Amino acid sequence: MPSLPSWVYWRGNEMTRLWSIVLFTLGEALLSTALALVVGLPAAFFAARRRFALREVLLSLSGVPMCVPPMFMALGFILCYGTNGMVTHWLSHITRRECTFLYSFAGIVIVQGFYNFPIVMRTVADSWAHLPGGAVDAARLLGASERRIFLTITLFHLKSAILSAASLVFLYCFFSFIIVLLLGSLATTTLEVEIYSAARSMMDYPYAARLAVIETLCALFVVSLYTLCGTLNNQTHGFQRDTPQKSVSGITELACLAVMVLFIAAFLLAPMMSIAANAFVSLTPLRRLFTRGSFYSALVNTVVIACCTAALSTLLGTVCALAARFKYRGAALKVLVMLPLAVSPIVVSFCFMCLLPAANAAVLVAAQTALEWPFAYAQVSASAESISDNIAASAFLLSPSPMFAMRRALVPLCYRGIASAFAFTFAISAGDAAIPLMLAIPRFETLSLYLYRLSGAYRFAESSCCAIVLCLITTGVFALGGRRR
Amino acid sequence: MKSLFLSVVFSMLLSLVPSLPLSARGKSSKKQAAARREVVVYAYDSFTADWGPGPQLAAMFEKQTGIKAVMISVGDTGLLLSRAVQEKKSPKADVLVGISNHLVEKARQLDVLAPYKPQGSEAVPEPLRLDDDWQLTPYDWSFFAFVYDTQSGVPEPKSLEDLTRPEYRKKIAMIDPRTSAVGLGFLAWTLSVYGTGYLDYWRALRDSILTLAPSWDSAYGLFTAGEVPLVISYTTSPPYHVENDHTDRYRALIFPEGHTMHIEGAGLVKGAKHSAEGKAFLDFLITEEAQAVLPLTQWMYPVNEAVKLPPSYSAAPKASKMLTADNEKVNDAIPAVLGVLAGE
Repeated sequence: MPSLPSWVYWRGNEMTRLWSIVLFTLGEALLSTALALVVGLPAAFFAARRRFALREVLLSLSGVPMCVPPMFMALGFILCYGTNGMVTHWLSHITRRECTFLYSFAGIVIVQGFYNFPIVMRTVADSWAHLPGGAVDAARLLGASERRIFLTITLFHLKSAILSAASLVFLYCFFSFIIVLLLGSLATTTLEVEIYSAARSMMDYPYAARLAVIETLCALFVVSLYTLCGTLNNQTHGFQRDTPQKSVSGITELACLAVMVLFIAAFLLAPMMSIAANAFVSLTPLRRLFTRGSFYSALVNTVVIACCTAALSTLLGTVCALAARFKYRGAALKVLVMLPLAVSPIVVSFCFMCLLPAANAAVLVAAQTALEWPFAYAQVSASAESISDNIAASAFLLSPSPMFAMRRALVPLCYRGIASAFAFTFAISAGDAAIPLMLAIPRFETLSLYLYRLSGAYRFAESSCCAIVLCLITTGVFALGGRRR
Repeated sequence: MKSLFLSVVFSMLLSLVPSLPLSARGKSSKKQAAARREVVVYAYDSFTADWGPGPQLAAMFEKQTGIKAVMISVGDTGLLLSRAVQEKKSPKADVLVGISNHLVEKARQLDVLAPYKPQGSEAVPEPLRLDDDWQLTPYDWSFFAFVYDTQSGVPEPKSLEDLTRPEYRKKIAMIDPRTSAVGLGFLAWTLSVYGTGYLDYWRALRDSILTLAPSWDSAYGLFTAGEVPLVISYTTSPPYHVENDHTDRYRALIFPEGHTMHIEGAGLVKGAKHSAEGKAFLDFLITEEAQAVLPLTQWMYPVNEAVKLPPSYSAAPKASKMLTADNEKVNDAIPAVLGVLAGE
């Protein structure tokens, strides 16, 4: 029997230590995902079903977590809620004790939960806007209460979207690095931190490889669980329509909306505003940034690369989502699609460094697309899964060919998901510094790499200005994508 | 099917558009490279950025020697060595810039550098030389030190021991030695000062540390944002603020226990394609002309003592006592220190 390679075998007490690291990593990822769902689902309801003044602003912010580097998001929270944060000072003044939730496990969960809730909001809102109206009307006619309708029809219809969003948020939190180290307790360790330390500091590649295998298996297990739950009883019924939006009515709805807006303002907008305030203490950093020629070339590179990556990712994601919805209904394809997301970004980066010695912009687009297209798939899939079997059957029956049915009937029904897919993958590409860094393309910078380099050279204010520019570009793309046809 | 096919083709063509100018430049630069001499330099991000020394040094080097220096950023020092190891069988770089004194032994074990004693090496003072066989040529250095915010309202600590006192509770942004050379540098500093008793010091220091930041930039970002009054950095950090922010608010603290140094070096890659050009670059790097670029770009001292420092460097104090670090023990100390910080 052939023997296994030596790097597979664990040394000494590595396994014992590994258990506590795995449990911690899973714990923070699952709790952060739960918080993102708790905040994101009500936000999705209001974004999909209600008209209110800040609705477009809320939807436009969906891409911010993807493009704002985690370090700046952490800095934003610290400026607000750190030991010397603005809100902390105010609360400490009132309560006469030290009030901060940061630098603890709770700090990691709260920051990650609010950082990622827009993914839940956007993904679920797209589905919620296309409820099966016939089933809802029939249930009301037969005397079902709104609560029963919500639990038996609405939640059932949204199951796929919720699980898709939860999978994405879980993976983001599972592979989280900077937020965990900066805002957690001292010497916090996750699997990603251990791999980073093993590969880059100790250059113990066999140990890093063992950890990477464990990490990927853990991530894949949870993602497969979500995917399998999502494919159970996955048939939809009823006529799909664009659910009309109503104005916010009643005390209960107003109160819920007010609480939701307050939380989002406190835990997403306030940190972002703090970054902007920190950057614009004076106009000098902005002037310095805008007089650098390298800034403009980084800006152009970012927009071009992000557009190309988003286009390719959206195309691939759409094809796979439609194939999974109408041809290959099993869970296997869905799990396979999520596989790239289940691999550590640090491991992927090292693989790219080893396998792609000569890099250029096309290689960067290909590398980013290979990692990001599952995001596009998740967005389009949420819309595709909400297309009822009746509609699909009618489209195929009445069309001269399956491709005609796809192009003229079914793809237009997925417009929201496709627009979200483009916006999300644009934002991820624009905010990605890891792959451009690893590929080390000569004389080529993107904004995310540019701001990372600025912050490493004392130029934090300029770096913050760069982060604001990235936010504005991405917010603009989401605003365009969120416009109703 | 036809429209889907066309969509796929369009997307692929679109994705190739950005690469066309680079490809064209790549092809033409190969022809041009055959005609002109060049040296490929791998360095870290802040060295090659347009605010760093890289572009100025490349222009000066080409003017002096006619050799084009192609600066390629590969991330940080850890990535620099990783990339060199990956390319060992067929090196693409000729020179590696940015290997610090803490990684000298690691670089030696990885066997990616060739020894070369540059011309003018007598200008490098003895305490700054990284090794006897000149696998690495030092080009800049500084002392590790705590930088203090004089406007914080917190009393200025006078020694490493002072930092363990209750008034400094949660007042320090420390840097993780697993993920940052600066964090590793501070660990080496405590090893030099306390020897086998270093863990007792870390145990006493634990309550003073607010967070273990993953990198120098995140820790320094917390510091300049006012979250903490103390951060581990270099004695040459305050001159940046004097020169650019026109403030002497931030002060580097000199402790009586002594300070270890952070020395950065450049080395000739073993098996480099342009070995002669690489040697010429190393010769150039320690000349007075090249070294004069470093103070206001690297914010570190040049190794060539003939270089006149800018006026802002009056804000950079010199350590009264210079310590040497035992770099072989530093990596072994990381798990022990993390255990202490985790409360074990």
